[in-house]
Amino acid sequence: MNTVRVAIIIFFVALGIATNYVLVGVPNVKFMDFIVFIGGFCFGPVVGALIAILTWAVYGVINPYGFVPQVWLATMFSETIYGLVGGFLGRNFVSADFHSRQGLKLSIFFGTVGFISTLIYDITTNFVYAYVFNVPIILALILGAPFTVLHELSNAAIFSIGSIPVIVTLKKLWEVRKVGVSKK
Amino acid sequence: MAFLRNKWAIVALVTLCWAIATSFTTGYYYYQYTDLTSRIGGAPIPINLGIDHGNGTRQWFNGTIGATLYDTMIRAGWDVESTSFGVLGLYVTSINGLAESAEEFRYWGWWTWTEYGWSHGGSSCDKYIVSADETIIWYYSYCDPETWEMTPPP
Repeated sequence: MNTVRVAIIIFFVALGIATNYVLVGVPNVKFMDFIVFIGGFCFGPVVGALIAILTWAVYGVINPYGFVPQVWLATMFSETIYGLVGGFLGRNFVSADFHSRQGLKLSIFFGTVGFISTLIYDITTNFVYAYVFNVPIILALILGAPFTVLHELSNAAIFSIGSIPVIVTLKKLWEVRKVGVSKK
Repeated sequence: MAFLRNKWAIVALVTLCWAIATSFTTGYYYYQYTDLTSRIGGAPIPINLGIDHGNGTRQWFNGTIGATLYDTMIRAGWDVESTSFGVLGLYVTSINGLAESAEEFRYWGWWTWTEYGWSHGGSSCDKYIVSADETIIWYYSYCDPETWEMTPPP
């Protein structure tokens, strides 16, 4: 892993942690998932997964909502879903024209990707929460539903609105192609 | 990705997300509702409950409490006989020993008092959630055999 990638990972991790603390008063509405996704999309799944793990390594330990090791590990590794999905999509979207008339379709598509990734993340973490606190899984899912739905809808909105501008900007400013993962 | 060219693929994805979100929300509110009703065991709402036998005798049980109309009837000490129609609820056939009569076209029906007068109840008594201080009367009505229209209480 070269120094540019290390710098990119550190930058994204810092961004994720900072935005998490800024939005700490708004449960389940965070930019972290989107940042991890973009990291994976532009720089590959490994980078995306590392951003996820390192962000949670800090935010999960120094967390105003408390610290439960099992839940922390679950959230840390579930967060990698965004990076892995982003990495997979990044490889399949290298030829996509983000300026074309497909823009609206792409925005909606990114929104649904955000929604479904978040659903997988929430279900996984709810399973672990139910196991750790000895709560029936169905009850955990139902009682967590308002937070789950808020998380999914907010991520759908953030992914839908933010993906294309951020990806286009990153490609322009940082010449992502030179890093080596996202080649046309 | 090739499937993005198909607009119906996008529509299907969005619909899937919508269905998931609404299912979660519905499940949550259904749980909250059932949990609340089971914990409070039905809201003790006082109503003015009356019975008119269709022969000029009318009795009032003011301040009777209950969650549903059927609940208040039982709490008022009435002897109610009924037939269950599943999710549609109970059909009352007899109150305090006075049974409906198909020969005389007399049937039990419940009516609620409004600013326009008596209004016929729109559902079975065990499905009707009463409101505080509502005035409800059971009337042994004559039912027109031509129109099946029930005579309102006087």
